[in-house]
Amino acid sequence: MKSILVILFLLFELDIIFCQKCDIQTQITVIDPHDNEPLELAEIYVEELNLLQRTNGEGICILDNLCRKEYHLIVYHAFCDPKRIFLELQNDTSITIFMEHHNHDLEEVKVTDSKNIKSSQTQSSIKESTILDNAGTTLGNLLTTISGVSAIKNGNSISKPIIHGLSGNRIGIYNNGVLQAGQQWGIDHAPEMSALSFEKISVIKGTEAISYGGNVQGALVLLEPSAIANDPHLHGIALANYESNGRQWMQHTRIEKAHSRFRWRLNGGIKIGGDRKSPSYYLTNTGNREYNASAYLTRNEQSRSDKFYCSYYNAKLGILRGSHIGNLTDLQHALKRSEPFFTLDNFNYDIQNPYQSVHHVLTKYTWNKEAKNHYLEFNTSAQLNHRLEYDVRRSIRKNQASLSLFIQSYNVEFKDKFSYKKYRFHVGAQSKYNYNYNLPGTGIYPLIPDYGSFTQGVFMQSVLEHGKIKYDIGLRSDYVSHKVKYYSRQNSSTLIERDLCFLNFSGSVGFSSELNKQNLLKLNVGYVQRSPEINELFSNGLHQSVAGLEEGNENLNTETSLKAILSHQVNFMERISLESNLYYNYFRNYIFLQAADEYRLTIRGAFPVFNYKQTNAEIYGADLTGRYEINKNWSSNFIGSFIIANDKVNNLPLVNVPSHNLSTSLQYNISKLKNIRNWISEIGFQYNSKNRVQLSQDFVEVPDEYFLINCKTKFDCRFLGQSANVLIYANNIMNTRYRDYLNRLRYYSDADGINAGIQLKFSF
Amino acid sequence: MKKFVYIYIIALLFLASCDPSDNNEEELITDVEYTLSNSKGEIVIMKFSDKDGDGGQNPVITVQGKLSFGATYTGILKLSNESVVPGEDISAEVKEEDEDHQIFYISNPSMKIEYKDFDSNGKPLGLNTEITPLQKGSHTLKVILRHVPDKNASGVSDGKIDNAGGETDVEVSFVLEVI
Repeated sequence: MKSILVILFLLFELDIIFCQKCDIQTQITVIDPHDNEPLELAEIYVEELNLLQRTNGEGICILDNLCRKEYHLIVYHAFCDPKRIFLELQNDTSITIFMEHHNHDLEEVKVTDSKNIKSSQTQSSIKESTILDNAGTTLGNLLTTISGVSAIKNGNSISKPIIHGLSGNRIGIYNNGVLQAGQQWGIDHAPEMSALSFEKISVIKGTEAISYGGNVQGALVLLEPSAIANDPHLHGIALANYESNGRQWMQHTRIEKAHSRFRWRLNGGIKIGGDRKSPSYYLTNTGNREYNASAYLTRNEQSRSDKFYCSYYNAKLGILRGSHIGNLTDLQHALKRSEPFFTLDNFNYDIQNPYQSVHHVLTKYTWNKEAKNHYLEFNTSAQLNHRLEYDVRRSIRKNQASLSLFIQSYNVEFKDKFSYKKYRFHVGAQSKYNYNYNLPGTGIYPLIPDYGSFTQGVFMQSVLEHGKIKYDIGLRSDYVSHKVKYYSRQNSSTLIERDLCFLNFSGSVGFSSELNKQNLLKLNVGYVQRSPEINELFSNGLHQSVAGLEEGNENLNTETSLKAILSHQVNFMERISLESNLYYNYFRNYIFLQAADEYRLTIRGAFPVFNYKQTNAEIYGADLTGRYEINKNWSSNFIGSFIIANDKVNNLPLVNVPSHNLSTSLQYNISKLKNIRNWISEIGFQYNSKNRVQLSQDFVEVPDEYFLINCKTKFDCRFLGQSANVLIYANNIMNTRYRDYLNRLRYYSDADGINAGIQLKFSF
Repeated sequence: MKKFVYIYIIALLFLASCDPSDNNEEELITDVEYTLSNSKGEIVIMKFSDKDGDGGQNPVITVQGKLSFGATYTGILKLSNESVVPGEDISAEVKEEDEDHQIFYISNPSMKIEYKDFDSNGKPLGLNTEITPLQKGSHTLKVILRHVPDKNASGVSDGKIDNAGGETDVEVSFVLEVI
């Protein structure tokens, strides 16, 4: 019986093999989504057949004699990232592939679908390939590839973004749609996440991102995973990178697969680096260790989808040994030195005190449902964030953290996108609860008290398209309540409790218009209220990163801002694309730390006292991004940001705001050379002007302007039957000595010298 | 969906019931006491006390007695944390890690100041000293405790602070009269 079955089965199999007719025709059209023009000379590689074909003048390529089976295609085009497509052929098929051709960090314009309600927002995105090309660096540094974005740093491995002069509490970083919960107030507290876990990173510069919430002044960073491709085979990337400065190794792997009912993706990475080096000496104790992992599970049904996401991030980041000071005299001594105290002559991977260690766990569940005219979304998420900071301490306390803050954050939100007549609406409600707890055992009076904060927000957005003009309006309201508990400094048994609540309103109006095929104009005006955060209200104690005693102010009022952005995109003759953003941002009751005239005597000598004060301020500037395709091989990119920030009451520049910066690059591109494709060689020039901050506002004169040269070359090839990408780069190739105003280590040491890197990436 | 809301509310109730962590500053140095005594049994005591640490109430600084010109004094420095009960003797900790600490005494106008205690490398520590005033009149004496100084740097072993580096854990000044 068994053998009969086997024979039958074999016959059946043979039947399939012999009867399979390989006569399917597939027509592939390649289109540039920017202007819907067909792309000629795009190359289509069929992995299974080792076959290569080109598209014709209509962007069409016809593959004949394909069988009823599965195929993997890779589409190449000059200036584009290769795209992988999976096909399961049954009949003659016609497919259209969009290859992002112009979009070199320019805005996404045409990506509109029914689920999208992108209004007049000014948004810049970083492509996946740019994320991967910057694998060796931090998220903060990666974001500076967007005009108008800089990074505020504490050495090279601790960096956080600053957008249009705003950072910390004023901007929101959204980890897969969830506002990252951490100690955002500290300028030495970098976002606790790895950029490599995401395929798309965008920055929204205006106030119109009303649906995101969070007590922020508008500018947002969104990190999102891409949809998992419907491909039943295991695919992914494996990437390894080595950088000479810090002798940093890093590895990242991503795998994904689609099953009939669900799809999954896993990410995991490690980064291990040692002491970095300025042009003339090692920056002792600036090593880093970073580990991250994430899992993404999606399930799609007809009109419903479920997404589950969880991620873990852990980092141990060394802080320059010579930057740890006891008092102002120490700082004065450090400023005078040509090289920092405690500088060792040799390289070290070890991380000693002082260092910081952070753990971040995020879990998120999303439920989507498409119903008649409605697109519903429910999100719930939980985050745990633990930050430990270790100082140089006496005896056994070396292994005891000086700061141990644990945040739990829980979010629930419900959103609905629907259309009514000509109008499209987006409404939603969001609840958030944050609980911040100082874990016992530090032996140090906490700078930030324990607190619980509850925020309830509701919002409404509406878009109306009228001819070529799109109008949008948004309204938002948040109720914020804080419950704060701390022990009195004077009498450690007196427990002080405070309850505060705020009601904030925000609103924005805007329009965008495609004047013609070449010109897109957008204007957005937004009003935002941000209530003071806990550190601004209650911090109390010595804050190392301001080298002074920081005192919160319980009487702070809500900070309000009005921001207008005018954005213009233009394309000339397919070869020149230019985007400019002009913005003006006015603040009433701008909260900032001001050094008081008094010095307070402590056992370590006199310390300056910093109080939170309010003023009226303005920040305005322009961002420019441009690209010129000179000919088939040569192209040039340009990014520039000009920014002016003033305290209107005291007539002084605002501190911790970037200086003007410009970067430009020249690219040489060979689309194909034997087995090598997309060979891009680039030389880049970067200029930072001297900051406007005056000597009276800082401990020392601000650093001079500087000029850096970077270069890189990269290409795709096939190696061991897989697509491989090789990247070789060198930053600061002249080994220029410089100090950057936004790097807190400028008081103690020069910035990093030359850094050469090599990276290999396999896509399978 | 309701289930999530319930979980959320329960989590809130659980969390809101936590109390702040303890508030004992362990490492803090609140009190510096520098006692000078000579062979005649004359004693001068300098005290700096800031029980609530950085910020808060102002510190209390007292100097009892006057130095006699021509006499040599034995100095003993005591560091303690009196913000906790019972107080902690920080000088004992400093002595335990003598290689990582040095106390500097800077007087204006200058006095003859000698170290009388040394670490295992034979480098000065400074909990025990001997001082001799060189002239009459008012003196400002600054006492500085450095953590992890470079004791091999030029002049540091002779009590000169300029090249010492490290972090300042104590920096207090007293006004002394020499009669």
